[in-house]
Amino acid sequence: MSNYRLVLGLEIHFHVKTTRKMFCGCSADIYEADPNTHTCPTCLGLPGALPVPNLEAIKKVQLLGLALNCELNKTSLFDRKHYFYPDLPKGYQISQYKYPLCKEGFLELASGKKIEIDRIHMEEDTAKSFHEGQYTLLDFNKSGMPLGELVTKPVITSTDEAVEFSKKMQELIKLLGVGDADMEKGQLRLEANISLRTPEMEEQRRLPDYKVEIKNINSFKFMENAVTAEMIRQQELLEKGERVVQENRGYDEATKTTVPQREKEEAHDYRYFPEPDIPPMLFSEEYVTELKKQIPELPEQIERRLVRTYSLTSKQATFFAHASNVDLLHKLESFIEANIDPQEAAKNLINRPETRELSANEFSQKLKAQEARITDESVLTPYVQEVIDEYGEVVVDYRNGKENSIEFLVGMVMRKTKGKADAEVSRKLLKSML
Amino acid sequence: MAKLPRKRFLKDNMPKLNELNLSEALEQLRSEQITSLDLVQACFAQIRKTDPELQVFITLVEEQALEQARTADKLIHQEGEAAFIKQPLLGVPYACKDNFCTKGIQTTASSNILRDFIPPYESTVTAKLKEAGAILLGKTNMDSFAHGSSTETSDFFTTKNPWDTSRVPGGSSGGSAAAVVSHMCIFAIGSETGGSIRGPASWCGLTGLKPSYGRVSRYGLIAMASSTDSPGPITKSAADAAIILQVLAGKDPFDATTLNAQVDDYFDNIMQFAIKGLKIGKPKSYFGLDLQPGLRAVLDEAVVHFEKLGAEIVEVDLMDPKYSIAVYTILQRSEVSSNLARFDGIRYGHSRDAFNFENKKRMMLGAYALSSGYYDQYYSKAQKVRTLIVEDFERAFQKVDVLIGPTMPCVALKIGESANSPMFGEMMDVLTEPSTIAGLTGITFPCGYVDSLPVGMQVIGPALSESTVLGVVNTYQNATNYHKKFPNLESLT
Amino acid sequence: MAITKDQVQHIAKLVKLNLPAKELEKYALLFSDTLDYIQMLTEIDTAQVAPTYQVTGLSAIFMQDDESRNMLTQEEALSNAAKIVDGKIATEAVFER
Repeated sequence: MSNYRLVLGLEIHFHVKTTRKMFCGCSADIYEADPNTHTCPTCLGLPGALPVPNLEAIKKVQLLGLALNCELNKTSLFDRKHYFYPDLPKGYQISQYKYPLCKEGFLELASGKKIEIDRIHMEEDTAKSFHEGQYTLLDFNKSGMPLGELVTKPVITSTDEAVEFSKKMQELIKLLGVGDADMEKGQLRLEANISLRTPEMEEQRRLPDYKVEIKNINSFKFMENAVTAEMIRQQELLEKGERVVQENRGYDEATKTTVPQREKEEAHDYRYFPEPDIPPMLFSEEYVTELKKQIPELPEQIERRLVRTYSLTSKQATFFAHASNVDLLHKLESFIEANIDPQEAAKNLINRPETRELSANEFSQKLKAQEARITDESVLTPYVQEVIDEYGEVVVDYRNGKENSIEFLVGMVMRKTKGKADAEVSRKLLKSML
Repeated sequence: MAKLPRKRFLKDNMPKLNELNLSEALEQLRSEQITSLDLVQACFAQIRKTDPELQVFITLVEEQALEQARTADKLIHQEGEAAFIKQPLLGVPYACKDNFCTKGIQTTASSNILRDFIPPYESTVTAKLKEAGAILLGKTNMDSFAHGSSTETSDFFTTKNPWDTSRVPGGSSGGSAAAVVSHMCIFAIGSETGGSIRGPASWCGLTGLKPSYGRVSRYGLIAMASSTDSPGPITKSAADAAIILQVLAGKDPFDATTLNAQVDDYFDNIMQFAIKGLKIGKPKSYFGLDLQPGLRAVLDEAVVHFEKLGAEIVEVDLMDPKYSIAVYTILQRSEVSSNLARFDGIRYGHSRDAFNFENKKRMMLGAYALSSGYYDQYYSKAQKVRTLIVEDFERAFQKVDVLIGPTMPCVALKIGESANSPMFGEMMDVLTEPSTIAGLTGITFPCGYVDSLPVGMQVIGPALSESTVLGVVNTYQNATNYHKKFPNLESLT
Repeated sequence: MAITKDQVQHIAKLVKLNLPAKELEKYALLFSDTLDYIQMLTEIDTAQVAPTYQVTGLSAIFMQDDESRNMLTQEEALSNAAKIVDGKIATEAVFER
């Protein structure tokens, strides 16, 4: 990858988790339902049916936007996007074109680099189609389900960044309750726009005049492999002095290369125009302020706070900031509040699972005991010798094979040191001296 | 040309109850002078006599209607007047344009695409009428998918104008208009996108109300142009229209474009309406159009009559309505190309090959106007001129309360006269398109005759001024008899 | 404004209509006539004018009540489909998008 720099933009399509569908009152709980049992005239595209937007879905996408430092469009419109396909009942998809819900945001990576986000918009999903011999079979339960689409600017410059960004996005979507973002269930789908440019172009901030799109990326590993394979392919072409054709490509796992997709007849002319059945959405300052309050502290914010305020290491901070460790984070904060040293608290909670069940008080005690404990062998040896001398019968028992007897002797060492002897060290000494 | 099978009716020689208007029918039902069953049967008798020639109905629901009539009669007998408080249209038979989805009853929009389509749900309009006790007799013929102003583009048959069966009733709600004026029903429901209520009502000598856009729900109305479609009543009088509007109007959670405004007591309002001092604007550009000879004299006479009744006539300047034709053609055809995209023959309906010439023509022009490279020049431009049309009316309504003018530039045309014109429908509706584009309310009423054919005049008001425009016409109808004259149908029976 | 048969063909494809070749000429002429008529809008200056997408002046209309509703039974949803296989609506196979 010496001569060329990667120019990568990502599109993230995510299912939004709501009670009802995007434009009708049908239940959104469609997982494993019998086919065509969650439909109504609207999501079935019957003549005369009309869409009414679901504010719950809209708020979730806006929440995500705010968490990503986006600006919310005060006026946002739905638009009709026209194309024909059996799984698209109206012959158009209600989506957003000129005035999406969110625009101009960013996500900060661990390195501090901000990945700029161009827009996040809302749209409805299509029906599910199955292929069986000469037929395409359609289940309209999925038709009309709410979808969000996030588009980054082409500012990603490595596969690592792409993977980190995608993983962070997945976590954020889950953390905010926007969706389950399970890639295996198709609730999160990625598309990558890839091109290469020279270092000079990068310096001058010029973009290449082409991009190759890879769609339907359904795992992070897939993305890494596909982007890498495509970068190699493009580099080879450019080094030969050839142009890279702007097209859609797919990734072939077997050959570990990208391949052109089946040629589409023509580029779509979507004939976008504002959806006449849905009045424009207006969002006031107060609305945005209220919505902002609903954003919980985000992982990067937690990490930064733990490092800055409590001097935890970056690794420790990442542990506590992870969504699945939210209970431990609370535990940590309660310990710190009880004046326990943050680093001790952090170290122990991470490495010694048994401490996670303790109250702040109990943990405090345990620490004190640990600190006061005698671990110096030279200090302990005389006590151990005393115990060996005093309890000859037990020593004989131990030497005769009764392993457990040693615990009694450890107990005696503890008594002699008024509980301060370190049990481990005492045991070790006893064993070596017997 | 395919015809749908007719049902045989039971009785002949019923008393002419079907000639009552809505107010009269309700009065007689309330006082139990007549029964709903007799009323419904009288309508079916008339249908049997005249529909074979007039060709109004695509689908009839006789059994269901008779059953509902019996139920209505029982209710009226038990509860008397009280029954009408809950159900203001109890026992009254009506016909509905075939672009309203009626659950379990074939709905075709007069197109081969929807032949045999049985909607699994009810439109809000027909649901409200049902709830109000009105009795559906059947679905009426229209221009297919409402693409026209004569009912000639129906894929099934052409409805005849009861005044002269060699002529069209107008369109696209031609079937509904013909049904009312030939006394096949007491009132009918139509829809207007460019002029499809006012046009046929005018050519059939009836009172047709196009409510403000958003006043009546479009849920279940097969969409033509989503941004102008307006369901409304075609009736024998303004008082009738007021009663029906009361039932139809209101916010609908299933239609996001319905207005929040409270529903007036329209009937009450028109009873209390006083025309004295009302400023009626007379647009120079409307009266300045190329109108059929003889029309102007009839219209002028009506204007004089309004002055006599106490209104003040003021000449106003309005944009040349020809621009509205261009705006409407672009907007309507664009939205049509989009709204007809769902007819892919998969979940319902037949293949897209079943669209007719007019449907295809409009869809293609519409797609062109929206297509990449042409959007700004056509669709976007039309929406901008639309703004100017809206503002034009706003300026006018600062000077006057309502506007008055001819509804159509001529009286009913002969069958076949409209063929092969690239823009027949849109050009014929020149006088109604400005107000549909602006989402205003308009009402047409008969005010005379030319060549023995009815002439319609219209009153246009700002959005949500239905009480006023209905009041104006009601006042006129209290002082005149044009709305009481109906065609002689002896030759048909 | 002349519209060619090729343009008509292209537009027909956009709205998924199969036009027989002999009809293209007819549509092209009608098209041209209509576009010529519409040209009159260029006479009007709209440089400073915003488009009107919604005459109602309404804004921010959202779904109201909180319950989920399945409005149609499976039978109702399938009732007008020409072909059904295992509860799913069937159509001639199409290629992957």
